[in-house]
Amino acid sequence: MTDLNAQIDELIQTVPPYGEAQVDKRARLLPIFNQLHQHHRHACEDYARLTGDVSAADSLEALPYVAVRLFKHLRLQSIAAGEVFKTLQSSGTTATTPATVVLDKFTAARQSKALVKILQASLGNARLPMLILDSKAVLKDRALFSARGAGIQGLAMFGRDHTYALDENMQPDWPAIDAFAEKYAGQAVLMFGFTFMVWAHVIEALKQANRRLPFENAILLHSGGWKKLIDQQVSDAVFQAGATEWLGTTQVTNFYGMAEQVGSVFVQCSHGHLHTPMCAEIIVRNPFTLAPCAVGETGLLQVLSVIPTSYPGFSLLTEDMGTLLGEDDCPCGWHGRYFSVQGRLPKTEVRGCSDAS
Amino acid sequence: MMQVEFLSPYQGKLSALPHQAPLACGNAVALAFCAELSQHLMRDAQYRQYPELVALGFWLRDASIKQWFEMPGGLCKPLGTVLHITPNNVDSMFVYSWICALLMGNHNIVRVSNSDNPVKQQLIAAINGLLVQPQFAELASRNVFVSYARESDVSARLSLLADARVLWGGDASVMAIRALPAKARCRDISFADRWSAALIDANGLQASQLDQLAQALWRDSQPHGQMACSSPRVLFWLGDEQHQPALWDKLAALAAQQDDGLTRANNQLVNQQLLAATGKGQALYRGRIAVSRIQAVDEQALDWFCGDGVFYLLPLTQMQDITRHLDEKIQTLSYMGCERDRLLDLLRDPAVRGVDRLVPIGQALDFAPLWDGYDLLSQLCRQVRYV
Repeated sequence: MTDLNAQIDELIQTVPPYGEAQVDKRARLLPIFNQLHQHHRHACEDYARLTGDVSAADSLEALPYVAVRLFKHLRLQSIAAGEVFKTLQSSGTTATTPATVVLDKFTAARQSKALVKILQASLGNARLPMLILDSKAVLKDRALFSARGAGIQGLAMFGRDHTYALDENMQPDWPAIDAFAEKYAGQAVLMFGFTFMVWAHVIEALKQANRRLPFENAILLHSGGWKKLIDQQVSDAVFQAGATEWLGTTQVTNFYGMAEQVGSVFVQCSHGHLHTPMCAEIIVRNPFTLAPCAVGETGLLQVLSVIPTSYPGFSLLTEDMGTLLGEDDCPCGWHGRYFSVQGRLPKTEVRGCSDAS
Repeated sequence: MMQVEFLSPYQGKLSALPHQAPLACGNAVALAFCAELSQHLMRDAQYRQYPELVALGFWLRDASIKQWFEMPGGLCKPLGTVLHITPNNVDSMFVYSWICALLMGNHNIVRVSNSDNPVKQQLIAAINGLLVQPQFAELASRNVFVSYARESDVSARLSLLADARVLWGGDASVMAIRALPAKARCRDISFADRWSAALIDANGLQASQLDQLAQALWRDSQPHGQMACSSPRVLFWLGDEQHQPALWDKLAALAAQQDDGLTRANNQLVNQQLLAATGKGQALYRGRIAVSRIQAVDEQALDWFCGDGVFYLLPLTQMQDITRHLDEKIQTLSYMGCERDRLLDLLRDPAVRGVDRLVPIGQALDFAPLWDGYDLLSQLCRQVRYV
């Protein structure tokens, strides 16, 4: 286990996020994933029962995967109770039950390190003044503390002079925004928020007030579900145009990630594609047969990450649909697989006679 | 003001509906309506893709009604106004209890959920198409289909008008409505959380019978995405297991004849992984259907059931072992390969608290007014004893 932890830490520290060709990357990842499988088999009884006696996989596709919804129903953990450092709850904005993810200090530390390494490839090393497009209440209220709060905390290390743009009612905090805008007008700043909140509570509010933020060179980093935006017919392009016009951004970067695999995020490149970093991989599976898909095909996204050792979540079948776009050949120059996300499976939880709503 | 959407041609205030002159039990207009609805559902090609609607049409035929519609004893009078709260997903079941109430001469307020389910929409359109016709004017002024948000106070207001409430839904929904004040003599007929099972006695089962068994099982499982209370979730298997793989293949082939939903495979995976992780079940088969072997009927395992081709296989070594799995929530036990009377003898044991219906496999969804332990016809009227 200490050996495995060291191997994973070394991978995260030393391998450049998008520097390795697909063949080499897979050859490096496979033995680690096989060890992770064995580790969780020994450490988590539920996982052992679920996967059965799978011997070493000969490809990433042959590794077992856990349906991500299991984390909503079961507390899956691979550490003793005394080693629990933090329990993360997914926010579940529209969903019913939140997911529970158990972290020890190794996994938590690795999540932060991986996030830094991956995002630095997009944001650079400078810590820019940071406008957080959310409410500080998300952090304060312990009952609300969720993946949303954890996301903000995780991203905060990329900036300085953190300013929250929204008040506790999710309305623009104009005095705070004005002070920040005055201080950094014409300079480069970093903004972060959750996609829907950025659109509904910031861009729409600025539009309504007819106030454009005065930055020359702002980077907007955003993540989170598109479902509500698709309902409002806001595409990625419309979103980007809105951000450029009202936030003064020159770079809008979306990333795909989830509470069940914090740290290994999939960041959009300069060509708008989501990329798999050094510590993670994407497999697209046919939604009807769950067989792996080829480049160009759309299916359920399976996400693999070397980060989680405290819970058996290194290989998850998500309920998100996506398309594998290619390997090693994105015009942006980054290596590895790249893909796009189409959104959630429609209404995934079914009820019968027992549902009168 | 109530936020109510009227889905039927009813013109008037809901509060005025109870004051309409009563109709008689077994009134001719209601019988004529059933016959018309039957012809419409069975003749019109647009309903062929919905076997549950064709089955409803078949059930409403004159010949069929003569079989199941029997006036309860004594002098029968309608109760008055019946409020029906219908389930969300199992979209056509509520029509059966509505028809029973209609035939007994009651006025009806039917609350339909807001979900845009195609079967339900087709059904309501068909009913409305008839209600606007002049010969059914008496019914149009006494029957109303409404939709409103569950959180609103409309159920509370409607409850005060009701002489009976027919409540479909889960335990929580049923309890929520029952907590609302109603008239002192209001009757509640509650169709709460239930599950159903099939018993296959495989001793003497021949390979040549498997097609018929698979078809009968699928007939009970396919409608409503297998989420109706009466569709089998658990398969009790008595004796020789050699034919199981062939049966799963045949069921999967039948399932594959219908459109596959995008969520089906993932839902089945979630189900099988939850059972496996908790040691409650072991995946035996996963293709177009998903079979897991379980050791006992477990409340949580039943809660994880997601329909659409999921079956829990529970092997039995002798028939009497079934009784300890028949908890108070089991509704329908369907059977094949064994004698009904042997099962009846087992069910006679006072310790068996479940099973309201014992029918051959293939008839699990066939509605009869004796349902869920109630006789709806006598429940939905007032019987006058005379000497």
